[in-house]
Amino acid sequence: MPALAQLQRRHGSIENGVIAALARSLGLPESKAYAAATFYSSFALAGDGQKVRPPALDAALESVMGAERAPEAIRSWGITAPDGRPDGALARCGAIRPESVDDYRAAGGYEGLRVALAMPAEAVVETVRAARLRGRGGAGFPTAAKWDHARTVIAPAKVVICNAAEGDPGAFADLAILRQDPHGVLEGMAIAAHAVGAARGIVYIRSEYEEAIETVRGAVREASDSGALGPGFTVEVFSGGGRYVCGDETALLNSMEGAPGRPRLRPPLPTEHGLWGRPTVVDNVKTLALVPLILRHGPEWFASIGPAATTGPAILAVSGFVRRPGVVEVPMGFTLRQVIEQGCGGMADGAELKAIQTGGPLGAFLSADAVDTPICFDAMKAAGSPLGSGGLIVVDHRTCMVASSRAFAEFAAAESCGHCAPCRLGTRQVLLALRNLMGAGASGADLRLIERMEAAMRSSSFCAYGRSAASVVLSAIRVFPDEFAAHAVERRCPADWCSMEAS
Amino acid sequence: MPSITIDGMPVAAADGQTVLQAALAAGFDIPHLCHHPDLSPGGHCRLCVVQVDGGPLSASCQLTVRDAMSIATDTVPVREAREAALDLILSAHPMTCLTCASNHACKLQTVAAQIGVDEARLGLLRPLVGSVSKDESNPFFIRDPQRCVLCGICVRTCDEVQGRGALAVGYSGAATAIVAGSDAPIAESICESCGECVDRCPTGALVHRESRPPTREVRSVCPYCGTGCSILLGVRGDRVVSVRGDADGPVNRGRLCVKGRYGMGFIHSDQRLTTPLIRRDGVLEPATWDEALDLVAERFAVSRGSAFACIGSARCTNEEVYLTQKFARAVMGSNNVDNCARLCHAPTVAGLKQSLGTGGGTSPIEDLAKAACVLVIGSNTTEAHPVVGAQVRHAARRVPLIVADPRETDLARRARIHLRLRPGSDVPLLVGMARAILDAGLEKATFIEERTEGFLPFVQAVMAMDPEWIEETTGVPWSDIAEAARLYAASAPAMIVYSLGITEHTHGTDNVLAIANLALLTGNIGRPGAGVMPMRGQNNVQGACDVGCVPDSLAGGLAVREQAGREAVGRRWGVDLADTPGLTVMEMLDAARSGSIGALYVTGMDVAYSAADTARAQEAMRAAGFVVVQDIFLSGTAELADVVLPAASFAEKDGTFTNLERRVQRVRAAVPPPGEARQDWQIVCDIARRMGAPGFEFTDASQIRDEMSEVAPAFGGIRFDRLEGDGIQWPCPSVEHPGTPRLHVDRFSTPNGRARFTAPAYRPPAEAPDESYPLVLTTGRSLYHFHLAMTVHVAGLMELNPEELVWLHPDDAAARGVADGDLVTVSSRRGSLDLRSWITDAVSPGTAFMTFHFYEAPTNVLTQAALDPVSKTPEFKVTAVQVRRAGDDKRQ
Repeated sequence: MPALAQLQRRHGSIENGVIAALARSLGLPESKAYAAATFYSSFALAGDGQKVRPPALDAALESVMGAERAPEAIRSWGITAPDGRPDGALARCGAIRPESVDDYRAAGGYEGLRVALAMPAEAVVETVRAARLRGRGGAGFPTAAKWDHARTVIAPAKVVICNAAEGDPGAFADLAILRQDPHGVLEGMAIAAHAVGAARGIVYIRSEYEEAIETVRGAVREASDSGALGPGFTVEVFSGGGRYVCGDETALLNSMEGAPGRPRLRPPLPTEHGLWGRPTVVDNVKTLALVPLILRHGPEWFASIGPAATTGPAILAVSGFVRRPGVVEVPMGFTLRQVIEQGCGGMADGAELKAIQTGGPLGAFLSADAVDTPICFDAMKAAGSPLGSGGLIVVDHRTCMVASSRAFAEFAAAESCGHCAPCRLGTRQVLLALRNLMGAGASGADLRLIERMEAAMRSSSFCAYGRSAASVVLSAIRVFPDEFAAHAVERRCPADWCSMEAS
Repeated sequence: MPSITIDGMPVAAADGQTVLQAALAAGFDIPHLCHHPDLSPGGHCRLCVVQVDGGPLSASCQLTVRDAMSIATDTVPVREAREAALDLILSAHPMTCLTCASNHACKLQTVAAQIGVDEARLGLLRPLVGSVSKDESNPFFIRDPQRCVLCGICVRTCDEVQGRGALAVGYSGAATAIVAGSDAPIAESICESCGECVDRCPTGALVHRESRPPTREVRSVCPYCGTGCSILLGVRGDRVVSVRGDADGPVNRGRLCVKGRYGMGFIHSDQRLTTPLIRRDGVLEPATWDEALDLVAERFAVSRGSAFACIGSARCTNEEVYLTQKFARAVMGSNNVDNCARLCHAPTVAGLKQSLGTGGGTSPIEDLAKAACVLVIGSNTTEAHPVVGAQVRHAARRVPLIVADPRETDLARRARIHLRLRPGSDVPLLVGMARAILDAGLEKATFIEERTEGFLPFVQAVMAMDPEWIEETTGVPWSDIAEAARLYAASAPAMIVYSLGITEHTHGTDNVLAIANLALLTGNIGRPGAGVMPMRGQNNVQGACDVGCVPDSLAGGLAVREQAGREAVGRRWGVDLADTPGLTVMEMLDAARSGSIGALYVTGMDVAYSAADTARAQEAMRAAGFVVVQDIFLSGTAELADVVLPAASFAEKDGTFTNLERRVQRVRAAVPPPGEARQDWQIVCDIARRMGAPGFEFTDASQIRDEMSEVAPAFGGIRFDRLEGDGIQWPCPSVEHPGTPRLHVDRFSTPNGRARFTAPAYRPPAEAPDESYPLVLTTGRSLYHFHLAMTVHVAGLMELNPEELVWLHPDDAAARGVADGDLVTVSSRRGSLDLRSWITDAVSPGTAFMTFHFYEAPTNVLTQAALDPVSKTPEFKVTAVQVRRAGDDKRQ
């Protein structure tokens, strides 16, 4: 992958003959190198234009739903340290020079690592367990359980990976953290490394985040030079080839090994058999950014924030029709309404709240009625839409839900890795049905087909991506049945967005 | 053992089994497309979903059994999920079954029938059939991407079974496709055309060009290399139309290489000999069998004793070769009987017999899977013994592989250490390894003490060769030699695989002895995963030597000099046998040149072109008083004969072949011989009877086998009726004996039971490069060919490898102004050839490489008849040559 990226940078595209030579120099069969080159969207193959994947679909979402990224706008409130001063994973963003280890230290940074290094590894895991930290990448898995598994596997070389593959349209919190406070993440990695016994850390950043890659590299340099990461732990930065599915930790591992980023069969879990077979902990940027706070302020402090089931700060990326989109950090348990009204200045001018899309492309739509749902993995799930990695797209009354669904379906089909039949072909069938619903041929059969395909994908796809790849669409049908019926039966778009003409 | 229930019925499962494996084993058929018993789970098709403990669905192919698991295979959610997944797969698949080559053999049809397809329901899905056209680049199979269901079986087969990696799953989403190379025609990729993926493809995406099923199948043994793969010859009418690997085959477990699967076209070649030929007025003309046999009997009758020489065939069955040497000895009274092993593995027989007591490979091939380290030296196993090569590749993914070879072979590229030695410097290299082992104290002292002799003189001789000299002579850095030695000695058990790169030297026997020394030093003989494995070249070269087709011993390795054994055989045959060893192949040719051979009888060997120094061999053929050649084609040798007798091919005869692990396996007639061709044993009997000799009244090959069991104690228990299963590895002294997969387990077969270390001695190759002939030419095999006959009659193999090329290093090519593909003249002190060049850094500077498969450029025109003094094997592997652009003045 780094070799492909270098070629891409140098020549702008990758000539076919070059792949054969590259494969030979890496000792790989040409087919394997070619498969990797054609899998990642950031590599363009010369003379093969029609086979290259379309670019990411943020643009479609932006045009339909106004979901523009705003990683510069950062607001953190409602979280105070035991000494009463405001704190949180975003507290330092904008206040310090991002790469500067001195600035970070002056703001209390690397204190958590100092505390951790004074403790046995097991005690670090227990501290995180007592804080009840749940991973912020999407699944909400208890971080301590993952660490403990990796800690107890006996192996000479273990790895800690920071997952910064952030690929959700409408998610940009990781980007904000990496660009403005990378040391917080590095400190979290160093603590995780101590807890599991890893000597090697890798920050996997999607290649589109070029600026963040440079920032993190600078921070790593400063941290290493000053010995801030503690003894025997080194961190490197890996630029991923840009695929949403690489956010899946096993796909991420495959991609780091130079293979197409398709998910692996589980078990074995990465904590047992991860990167090149080594026990590997993969944690999201936000999770790692929260870890130093737990060590610094104590697990009781952390656990006291938010509801019992989901403790600590919530780090959200809010976009869509709000007055001030941006990255928002609030205590878990705040409601969606509080986030929109207090964090983002309320709805944009002339916009009325229609729905909130959460959980990214594997999430769902919540209706406006659910706006008082607390931010919490369990409460959100119960309301019908997962919290996921914290992206919220606020949808207004002028937005067509069929067109919005189609934008998600385009994304789902384009990002399907192709490994299993239900996802590879199901996402395509759902997309074609939705396109049809926006035109003159719209029919109720399309809705039934979507529901059937969604059920098949949910019950039998290979990975979490495939199982939820049509969930956004299905939720739109469930929450806004009348709007879909208007398209399917009356061939009418209530939002007057869809042409409803023969294509 | 976990116990689970499937659909309410208790099922015993094995630990680590998947639910799908447990279900299939218990007779519960769960629909599946991407599962294959030989391969790791894929998880692609999702048709095998089941409901676990009444909860969510799970793909049974990737679900490991747990005790007390309750599996339901046919609930409503299961059915709905399968129907939807099937509909999706069918939406992307052409519905043109009757014109598909896989019709009726298609697993998609099977699962569609199992799950059920509703036309109206399926009709709601939009057709997603791809538009990529067929790839017909390979001569043996066709790829049709439209019919591909992306089960990944072909990719996993190439990775896991063949170890090649020619295929990958490229692109993503709906564009996902199987790619070869950079999505190029597969013939341009590194695909080895083994056809394993074609055999496993569940649909019509990969189909053999000959895809109509045969009407019957006959189990036999592949006639190419010495691996001994079990095959099923598919027959329609009187023609062999297909070959399948026999899944029960003990050596190959269903696997085949390109020659084994697709190389049988020679059987029905219109070039086959169908009548006897007699030279009349200088021209070979068709004759009747009576005419030919009368002439042969008459001429043989006046050339008995030392005036008669006979070359048996390592391509024929044991029974036939046995009968050939019996004819020479009993009827013609001559020990001048030999076979092509003289040109390849005679040093193995001599060397291993001297050091270990038996001149054969010590271990079964399956031991490669048990080895903790594999050392491959002088063997391009991938191309010469492909099915073993694939197993070495498999081992290399698990354990350290060390390859010693002047060329960068396929295995060298996968090796932990590649010792790129100078051609002919094997002894110093192996001594260097022994020295490094001794220096590091890694020798196995108890083994040496208890089971060997001659250790001290060996150590003294080893210590006399110092590392600087070894480094200089081999061209390999001492650190690499020491590291390879450490790996080999410290990883127990370790196996050595070697072949003609070791034996075809003037110091071939010394090389073999050095290999045996290394194995003895580390105790790597006589236990699973250890041993010394010579890769025998011809399908039955092991057998040809075993049954006595050599000048110095009788069947079962009884030396002709040993009175008791010789007399026992003589009594059985009713003759007195000569007690002096006869001439070897190269000596026979020399004797013929000097006019002392009155009759030369050559069966199934192209000796005029496969012996070193073709001009000299041809001269010998012309000088011999009377030459009879018995073959399936009019070979270059047959063209020089006085009488040519048409023989049956392996597919037309019953008998046995012995593979490189001493396994005797049954060969069965599948079709009748063409025209008037006869089986070789019948021809020998015909000649003997015509000469009035008793003891050749056989009517069936099994009768010959029975006589052999009586004559040779080592084969006492090997009879046709015991060979129906996996065959038997000799020694097998009685019908109760199970055979001997592994030699030397408790005692070596030397007289005192101890193996012998041999003090190494170094002699340089016979011919050193000089100003006139500055390059060293080495020779070897191509994957797509065998020797000269057979494969050149298979059109597809000729398409994949149509001509001889001389491989040159870029530096040597540049120095001569030779561009890739240029016509060049390669000359040695003996002759010269014009052929095209291939410029590659797979050969070292100063060396060149050629195969030896084409009459248009017969490589042995260049090689020399310098012999190993012990085994009399020529030095094919080191020839000093010059290469120039064709037409350039030699003085330039």
